[in-house]
Amino acid sequence: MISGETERMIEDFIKKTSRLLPDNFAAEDLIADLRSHIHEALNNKIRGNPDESQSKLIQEVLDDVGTPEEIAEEYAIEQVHEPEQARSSGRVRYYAIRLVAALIVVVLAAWIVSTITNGAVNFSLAVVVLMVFAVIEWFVRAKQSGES
Amino acid sequence: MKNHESGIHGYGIARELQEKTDGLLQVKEGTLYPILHRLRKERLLNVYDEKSDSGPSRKVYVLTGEGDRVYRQLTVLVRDIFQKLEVLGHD
Repeated sequence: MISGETERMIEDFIKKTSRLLPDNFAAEDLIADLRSHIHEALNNKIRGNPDESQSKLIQEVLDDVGTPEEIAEEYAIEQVHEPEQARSSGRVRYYAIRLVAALIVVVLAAWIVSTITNGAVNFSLAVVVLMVFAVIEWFVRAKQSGES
Repeated sequence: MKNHESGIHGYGIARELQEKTDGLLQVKEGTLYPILHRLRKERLLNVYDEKSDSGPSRKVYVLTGEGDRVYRQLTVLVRDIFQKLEVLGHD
């Protein structure tokens, strides 16, 4: 049974590591792996040393796991190792899908607005206005996530 | 060999690395996961979730057909290097 204090130490470590990783699904997946690894290693140590204090054991586990900085550094190295060609072709496909999805949403939204207002809002004007909003949103997101 | 077919979780890999190399290959265990994730992205590994008695569910990594092929290729290459080194040592 892991104590509340030990759980807090685990969560502190996880939070520190999360802050150093990008905000994406791959990093979330990595964090889930780390959390389960730490629990497994700690329970194993508790079974082997039932009389030892949990704070000492969790410290040993975290020492074995490595610092958040070491994990983030390895994560960055593995991202760089991705084949450049695969990354660029994947990126083109990703942007193409995003563009098509944005166009579909804009046309649909413009049609709905034009229909429910019985034509008071011009369909073409609605498409243009919504497209402008979509482009602004795209730029803001790209700036926030550091995309080029 | 059994682990390649049935899969192994990250903590198991860390333990095996330590035990089977008598501590020679010491890695920070957390740094294994970015590598495992890249191998998964390259389709050399498959992954499935398994319930764990000790906490959150854990991922079990299994070699794909391509992963197994690469593994065998690397095994032959490493064996070859060691054989050549041994020959050089006897000369």
